[in-house]
Amino acid sequence: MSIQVQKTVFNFVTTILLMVGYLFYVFGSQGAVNLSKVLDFQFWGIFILKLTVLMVVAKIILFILFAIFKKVKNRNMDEEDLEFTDERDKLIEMKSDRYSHWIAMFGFMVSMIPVSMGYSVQYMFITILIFGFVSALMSDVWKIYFYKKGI
Amino acid sequence: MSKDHIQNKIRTLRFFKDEMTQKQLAGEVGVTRQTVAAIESGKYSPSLELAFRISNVFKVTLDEVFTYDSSKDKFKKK
Repeated sequence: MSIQVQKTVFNFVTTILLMVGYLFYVFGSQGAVNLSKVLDFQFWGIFILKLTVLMVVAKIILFILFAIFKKVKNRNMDEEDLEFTDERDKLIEMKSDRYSHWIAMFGFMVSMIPVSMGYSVQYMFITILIFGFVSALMSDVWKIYFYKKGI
Repeated sequence: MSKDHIQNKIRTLRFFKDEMTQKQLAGEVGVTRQTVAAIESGKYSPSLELAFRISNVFKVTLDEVFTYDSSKDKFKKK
């Protein structure tokens, strides 16, 4: 497995783990969320902002740990540079990001359906979050696909 | 997504250049070894700039490295 695919798989797994961990933290056994909070705009605003900060900070820390782990593991080997990207990597990244943005945009449009039908605001935010999460995962899936099958 | 209409002789040229490795060629042209492997197997068509760099490493012209078969190229004409 090339270093690019390893990085993508690592990103895929950490995205799932962080999302599940955060949802468990908010809604799980320790979470103090009741129905009135879920219907509140402020709750969802804080939820998304906290999630964004958590994802950014946790991803930076996890990728530093990943880089250290790779460095220690391949100490005596002529390893590949983790940060190095060439034209093929950039093309694959652009293509997979473009596809994932389509999913995110589609999700935004779908999230307007419950709003237009008069449902409460929680359905809109849940739809946006689900499609945002799926688009993030699909970006990695497409990257792995393009690395394996060619572009 | 193999590109049948664009073929290359990189493997042969590497062989005649003292069994040059994919990693050595990748280092010479500034890409990863995986990109060289993808070009060799026809899974990726390099940019014109990279194609010139590759031909420059082997000291041959571009058409001696890459060949194009228009009969196999499926593209829409305007």
